[in-house]
Amino acid sequence: MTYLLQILNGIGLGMLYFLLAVGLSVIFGLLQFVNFAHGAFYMLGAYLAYEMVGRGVSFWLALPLACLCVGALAALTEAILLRRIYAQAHTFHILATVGLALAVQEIVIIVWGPIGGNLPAPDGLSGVVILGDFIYPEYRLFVIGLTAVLAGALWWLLEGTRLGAIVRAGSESPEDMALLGYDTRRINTAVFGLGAGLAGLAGALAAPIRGVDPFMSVEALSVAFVVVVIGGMGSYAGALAAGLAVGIAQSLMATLWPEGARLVIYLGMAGIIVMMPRGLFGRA
Amino acid sequence: MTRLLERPLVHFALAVVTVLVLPLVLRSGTLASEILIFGLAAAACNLLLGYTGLLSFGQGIFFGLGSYAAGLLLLRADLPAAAMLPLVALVGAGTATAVGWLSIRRQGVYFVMLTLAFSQLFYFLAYTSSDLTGGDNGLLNIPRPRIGERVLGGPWAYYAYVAVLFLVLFALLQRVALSTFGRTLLAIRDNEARASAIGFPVRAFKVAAFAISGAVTALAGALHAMLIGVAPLSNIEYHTSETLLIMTIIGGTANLFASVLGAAFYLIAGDLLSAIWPRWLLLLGALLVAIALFMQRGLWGLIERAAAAMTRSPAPEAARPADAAVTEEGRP
Amino acid sequence: MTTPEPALSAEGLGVRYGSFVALKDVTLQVRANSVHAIIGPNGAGKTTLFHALTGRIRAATGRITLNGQDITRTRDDDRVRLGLARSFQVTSLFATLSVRENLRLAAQGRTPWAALAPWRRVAEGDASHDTADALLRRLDLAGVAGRPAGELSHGQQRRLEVGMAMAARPRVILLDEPTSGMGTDDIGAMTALIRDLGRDHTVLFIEHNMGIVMNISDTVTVMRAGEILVEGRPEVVRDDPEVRRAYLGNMITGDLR
Repeated sequence: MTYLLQILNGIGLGMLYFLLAVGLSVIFGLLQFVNFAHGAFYMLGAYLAYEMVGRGVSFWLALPLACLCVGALAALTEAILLRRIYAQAHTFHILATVGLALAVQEIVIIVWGPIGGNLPAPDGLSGVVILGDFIYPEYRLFVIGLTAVLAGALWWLLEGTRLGAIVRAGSESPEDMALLGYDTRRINTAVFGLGAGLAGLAGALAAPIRGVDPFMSVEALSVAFVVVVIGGMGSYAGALAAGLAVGIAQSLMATLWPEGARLVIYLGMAGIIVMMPRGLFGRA
Repeated sequence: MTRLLERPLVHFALAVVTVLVLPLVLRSGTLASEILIFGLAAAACNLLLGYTGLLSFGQGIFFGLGSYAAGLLLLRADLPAAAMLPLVALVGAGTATAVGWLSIRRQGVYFVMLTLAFSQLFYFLAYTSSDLTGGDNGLLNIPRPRIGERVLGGPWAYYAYVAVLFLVLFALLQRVALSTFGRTLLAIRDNEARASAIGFPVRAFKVAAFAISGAVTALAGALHAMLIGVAPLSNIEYHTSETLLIMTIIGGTANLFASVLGAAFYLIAGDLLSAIWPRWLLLLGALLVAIALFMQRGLWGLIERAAAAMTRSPAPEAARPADAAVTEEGRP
Repeated sequence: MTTPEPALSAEGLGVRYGSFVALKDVTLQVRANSVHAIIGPNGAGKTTLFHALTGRIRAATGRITLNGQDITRTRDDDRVRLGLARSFQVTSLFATLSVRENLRLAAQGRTPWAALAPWRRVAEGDASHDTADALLRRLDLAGVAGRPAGELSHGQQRRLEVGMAMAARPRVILLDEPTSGMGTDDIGAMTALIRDLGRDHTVLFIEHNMGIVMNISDTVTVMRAGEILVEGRPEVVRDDPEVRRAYLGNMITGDLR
């Protein structure tokens, strides 16, 4: 029974990892841009939800608002700042976004303090579901349900719509995109905003489970990297499978060896790299 | 003048000048020692970034392990510092060989992500093995080295110790950079596929670069642990990897002394600004963005520009601007 | 027993990129100390064949031997040590390093493990320097020896590109479109160089310029769609009706300079 609960926890966690990683992956796929500020956007989403709920806004409103705000902010940053460095080496993409992440972290500390805080589960979902022996928090079930719906919507967006086709074509050959008459700059901005918005949503959803603190960004960033390394960058299925695998492994380990739960996912990654250098779904 | 700035001997002379000048301009011997220690670690980071083209987010692993290894060897094995340091270098080289060998299985951004993930791995490893590392508290009561009967307790006495090791290791790193090995690294940085096509086993060279970088970084970590008397958990954190990388890029990747410059700038600016405003890292973040946009050759690039301007101004109009444009574009 | 062992040979070589078959059952024998040209339309698999022969990509099927030794599973850098070197169709140099250093490195590539010594300086009298200096003269690059390779003119870069392959002192040298993008003056010098190389090397080269191919080759192999269409002496290939019908006719008229 405990294992079942841990697996459920793991699925919830894994779906959040998936949201994080798929955002990172889409941005990299289209823009060839490594976004080290991705964790900072996740943290910002969590803090915005925390702030709004603290000011009496309903969680149900705060959740989409946090996602939209983060997405809009990221799109703005892309339009003003980041697009100016696309032409440069990856080193400078990394430097600029590390700088951005650092600035966000400091702003979070200035505004909300270094300690962090807790966000209660929203009103309708603060209880537990009881089915015989099975007792489980409602909010966590909600997270699993919502993220599953989102995953489906994202799949549709990336595989079934014009935007998705554009994104896939654009990651193959940006020049062709421009030739076909698409405004690549606007598409870039939109996709960057979308990716970051997903990170912000993951943060807002995670806040009632893990609380908020100014250092959650680094952890999120490195987990997203692990998921992408295992699943393969640019692979939707890879991000989903690897996200779930990492989430479930971490949750199961939490009962077996609590202190080592996080260690295990990194060890697992090292093992996979030894055996399968290209990752589970790796293309390049 | 601009030519002069490319000579390794000049860089070593600048390192010597730095060692001599720091005591004159800084009041804190601890800060001065820190500059040399981090300068060394940044130079080792630059061996990977500037010479091999490998952006490693895992330098904190070797720095932190160096601190722990120093503490354990001094406290548990009761070794003198002189015997401890070579062992620490071995630990650093060994770990870096493993991390490097695994990380270079992927290239480009995947490589960067892997090194970051490995730095998390080692952080959690250190965190969970608290009976060895002291966990959150760190390894406490690490003694200072002694020369004969004398313990180097005072900040400036220890600075002298650090300074000697700094110069020796800096010269060794320079030697590596100028060797057949170092020159091959530059080729790998410029064009890895061609380096492989003309016969170089590129992986072996990259792993060897990692090993050397890891050894020097671990030694820096050991010196740092003896400086502050603790091997703290923070030395193996993501934050340390990030800081070392930032110092290296701020300085510029053109040569090894530039990294020392980057470390000095970072630490002195941090010392001055944090006294005024504890959230000075916000400014640092902005500075990094500015460097990415406008100053890709870092502080060393500024020095080059200044030198070029100085050589140019007395001379009559020459074809200098075109020349300068070429150096601007320069390496990545 | 009468024919000497080929310097380089491939048997049933096959390469796939996903579902695309880039090379299908290619069998090729390159005689020692001959100049052997490979021609064919774009997409015929010529460069892929080079990649497979030099080990940059692994062939899915088939066998490769170099001077009688099976090198099918040998890594690309190890093949250089066995005496196989190549130049690239798209110039691939160490752009920030000097021309002399480019050649020195390429010469050093023959003994790469000796370069793994982080304490050893490169002595001025080193053999790799001698090789580099000799090549600088032979390729007429001595005047720009100190300039970064990235700053050379296109013709100079192409010469350096070939020189990089020569520096390894290979027995078999593979040149991928050595004259691509060259002006007429440079082409003459390059043609002379390739012919010259044929005296003491085995040369396998890809070329679109039919004038060069017909003038200096001992053997010509025509490829199309990943397969070998025809192989033989230049005049035989030129007059082969199938080759003419397939494409060579318009290629000769179109490309002969």
